[in-house]
Amino acid sequence: MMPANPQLDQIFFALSDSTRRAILVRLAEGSATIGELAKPFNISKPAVTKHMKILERADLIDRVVQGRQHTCALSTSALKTAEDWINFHRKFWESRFDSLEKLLKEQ
Amino acid sequence: MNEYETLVIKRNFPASCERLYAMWTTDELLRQWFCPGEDMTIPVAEADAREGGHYLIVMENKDGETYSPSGVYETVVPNEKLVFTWKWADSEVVTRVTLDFRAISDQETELTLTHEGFPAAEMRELHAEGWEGCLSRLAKAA
Repeated sequence: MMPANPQLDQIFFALSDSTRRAILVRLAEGSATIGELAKPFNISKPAVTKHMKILERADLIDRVVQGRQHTCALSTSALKTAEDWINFHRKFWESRFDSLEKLLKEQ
Repeated sequence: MNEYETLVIKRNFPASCERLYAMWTTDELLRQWFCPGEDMTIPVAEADAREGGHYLIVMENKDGETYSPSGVYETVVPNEKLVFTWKWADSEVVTRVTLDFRAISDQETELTLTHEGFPAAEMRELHAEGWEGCLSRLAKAA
């Protein structure tokens, strides 16, 4: 059994916002600075920084600081966690179905 | 919801719709099967299968660790359909489970379980895009 994973809550929360999803899609094309990310979304740098913090907490992005320049890149570790999560549920329900079937056959 | 991954599992069971439905909605019956593995027990299985009613299941392993899903019934059509929210204790994530019961005969029922609300599909797509991005950058650098 896999217990509830608190990181997943962060991932779900991070993905619940359309701007943050758009930022991730942009980062999938390659890493970018905060300024580069702010431009197409027509939002302020502090607003982008707030979104980046949420994405960072969910391990969806990595941030590299070089002097005053913050470069963000998509991180794939959280993607694995989400995949494990859905695979866990598939196994969970299949094993439930197995025991339900067994019980019905025995009766 | 189409950006979210949906898990669908379909199986035929050797029972009538009524019997299979009862297996999912009766506390004593749930306790007999809703437990993964021989070494786990179900100290709690409460199912108030009415629209707006709650359910709570507690599974416990031999080390005393508990795993507990709970939620609210959103749609209840006896012997046909059950829709309930699904939330593990200690998690804020709420997903949704739909059960569709379809009679094949008096002795056989097809059950379709749909578990939705996972963000995995969109992330898998990103994953692919991410790798493509990496490879194209690598190609440029090489």
